[in-house]
Amino acid sequence: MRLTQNYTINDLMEGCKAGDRKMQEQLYKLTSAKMLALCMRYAKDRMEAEDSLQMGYIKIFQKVKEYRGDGSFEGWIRRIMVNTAIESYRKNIKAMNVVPIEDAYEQPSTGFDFSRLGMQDLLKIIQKLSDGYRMVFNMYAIEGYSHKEIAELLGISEGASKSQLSRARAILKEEIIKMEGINYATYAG
Amino acid sequence: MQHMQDKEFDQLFKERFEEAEIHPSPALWGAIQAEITPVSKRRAFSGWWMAAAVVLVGVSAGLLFHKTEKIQLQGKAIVATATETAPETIIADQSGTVVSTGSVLPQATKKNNLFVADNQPDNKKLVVSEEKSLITVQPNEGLSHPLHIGNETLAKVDVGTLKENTTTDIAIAGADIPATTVDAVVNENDQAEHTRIRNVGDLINFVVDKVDKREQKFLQFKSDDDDNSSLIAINIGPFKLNPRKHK
Repeated sequence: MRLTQNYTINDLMEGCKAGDRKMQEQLYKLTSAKMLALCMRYAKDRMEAEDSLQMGYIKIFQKVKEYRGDGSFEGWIRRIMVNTAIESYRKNIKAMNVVPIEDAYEQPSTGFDFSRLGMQDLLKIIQKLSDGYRMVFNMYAIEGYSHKEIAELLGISEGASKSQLSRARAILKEEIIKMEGINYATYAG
Repeated sequence: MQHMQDKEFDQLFKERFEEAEIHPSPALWGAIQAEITPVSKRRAFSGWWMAAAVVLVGVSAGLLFHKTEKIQLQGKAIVATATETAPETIIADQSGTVVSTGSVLPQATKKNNLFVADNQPDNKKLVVSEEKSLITVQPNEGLSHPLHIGNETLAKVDVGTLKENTTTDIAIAGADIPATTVDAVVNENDQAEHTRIRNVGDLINFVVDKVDKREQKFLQFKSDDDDNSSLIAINIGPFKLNPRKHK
């Protein structure tokens, strides 16, 4: 990031539109770490995330000419990354055609302390979710899509989107409590 | 925070991931770069390979022609050695016989009618002939250029010596030397016929054969007796053209 201080993200965008290889690399250097963090949320593991990241950047460089400046350029990049993740999810679901059932319906009764949970901890529990839950939770809670949008993008009903979201939340809370327990144990021990 | 609201819960996740960064493995950019290289650029690249191949063929052909020239010059060089030995015979029989190593070679006769004549055991002439020998030693090492210098000086000597020249006997010592040189030239002519380069296709095949030892040459021409040649096989890395097996 220090290297690219001379360029604004819009300079890079213009350079990428012109097909400038150096500008493409600078844009990648500037944004790839954030985008990998995004891809990690949608993937099961790092390998899957990096595959997704690679596909996303190829799309970005191919489609950059279509970017008309509606919204920030970084927002546009993010959207392409999310779309790439959705596409690969939909491909996978066609291949597997499995609807996972998870019985984690009860609300956890105890509260939890988020301050001790880092991004990596949250990432771990998100990656543990089954693919469908992970997609809906990411899209709704973090990306801010509506249930209608999610339903369209994932090819499910709005009701399915809502129920998957609440299940996802329940599982995540349970996992956080488990983690807290481990943390308490290590602090106590 | 007994029962955290869903919105709050989501917000906490959102905050954690807002500025999250995970650095990708360094090799990933290379993979992306390879995929975004336009196809037209790749084609241009292989075009450069084609151009390089053409240049290579051209240079090789040039070298080949250069080589045949050298072969001819070597023939002359042998003649030069013959003349070189001639002065020695002069010194050997100073009785006054004319030593002339008139070259019998077809190519050489045009230029190299070398007459080393010395019919008197004169000190002066001997010195001249020794100078000659010094000059004519050079053509052995250098090829054509020094030979010309030798010819010039020899020609000058001819003018001077031919006046005194009364006999035109062929030298005793030099007699067998031209014979060997003739043999040598005949052999070279044979070799030239063996290569049988009749047209450009043959020439390129010959050059390619020297350069490319693989079974499938990077360029291969078919030539028939009508002196027509046609390209039958190409093998430049990924781009191969070999419509039928050709040996």
